[in-house]
Amino acid sequence: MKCPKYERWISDALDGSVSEKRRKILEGHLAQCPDCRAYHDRLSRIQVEASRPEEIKLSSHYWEGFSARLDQKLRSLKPEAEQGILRRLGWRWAWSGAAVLLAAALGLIFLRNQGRPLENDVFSFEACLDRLGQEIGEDVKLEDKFTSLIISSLGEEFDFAGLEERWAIFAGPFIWESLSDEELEFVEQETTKEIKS
Amino acid sequence: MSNTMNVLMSDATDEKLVEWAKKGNLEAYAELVRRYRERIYQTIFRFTRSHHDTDDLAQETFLQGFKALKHFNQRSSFYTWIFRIAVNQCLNFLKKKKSEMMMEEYKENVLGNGRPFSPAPDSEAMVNELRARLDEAVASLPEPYKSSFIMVVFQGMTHAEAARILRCSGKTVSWRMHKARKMIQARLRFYFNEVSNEVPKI
Repeated sequence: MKCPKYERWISDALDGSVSEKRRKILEGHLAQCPDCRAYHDRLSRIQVEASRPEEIKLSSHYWEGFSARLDQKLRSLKPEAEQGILRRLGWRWAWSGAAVLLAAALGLIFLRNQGRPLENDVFSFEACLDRLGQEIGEDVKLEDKFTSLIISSLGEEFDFAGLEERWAIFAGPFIWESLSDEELEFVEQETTKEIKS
Repeated sequence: MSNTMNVLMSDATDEKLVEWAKKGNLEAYAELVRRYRERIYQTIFRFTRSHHDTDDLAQETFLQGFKALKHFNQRSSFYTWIFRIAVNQCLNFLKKKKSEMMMEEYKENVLGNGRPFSPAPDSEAMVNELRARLDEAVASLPEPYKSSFIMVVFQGMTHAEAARILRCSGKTVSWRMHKARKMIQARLRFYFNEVSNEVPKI
């Protein structure tokens, strides 16, 4: 018997992410369904085995070399003053710039839609960003500037190293496709504040 | 580094060391690296299964960590923060590696060869065999199922914690875990068929 709902709950239960109510329902189901009981047993076996710590023993000689190589790299880093201007941008400035660009793009979108019925979601934040991406996608300099401003602003609030990594992947006007709901919400709130002010 | 300095560094809290490292004190950062390099190495190795790649990525993780230290607001612990950087490094590495892999090779790894399992007679060998098969199965999981599985099962994170690092919702992690387990179980089907009578009830 296939019980997809309970299979999902079994997985959640193994991760400790199932509610008490569901746990009780699941226990009742397992008591009467041999297939799910067998599935639970197999996953439990995998869980037990996977939870067993895997010891990777490396010699103290290796770790000394590891630290020595890292130290050499750290010492050869360029002084902060020589690093790009992007990291030194204050977030207020960044948001002002981003807001101006966003307002300009919204204006463009609005003008282009004159005389035509607007789609319901045209003013949703994601839709605006998407349209903005289309509008500035042709202009490489504008695109770079906008993405830089968004990233530098987010870097003040979230993990900068992680953003940089994602920036490398989602370069261009589609940076927001890599943003989490939390980050997107932050961008929306801050941009709204800037536009209001 | 003098003995006095060594003692000072080894007695200092992570918070203090971060504070000093932010001011450019490399000895303080070196102490942080010493404290967490093995855990970070183990985490990265889970993703790569290669000591050579793990060494490169661990170096890069701590290098990126130092560069980004001034943006670290210490709302989380240093370990949590550097762990996030390590995971990001791994995810980028795997994306790059996947794009470099030939499609046939990828299919072979993902779908598995389905060779039958021959359990060794004694239980310790059987456990080691399962562990080896399990590591293979996890390594063959496509992204993003692999990263979710590593973080939740190997690192003991909750769905919510893994979701924060993977930039998705807890429900997405729950779904990925469900799918990952199904794939792993399918990959280990011969093992379970052979030893089904010996699987203890947990």
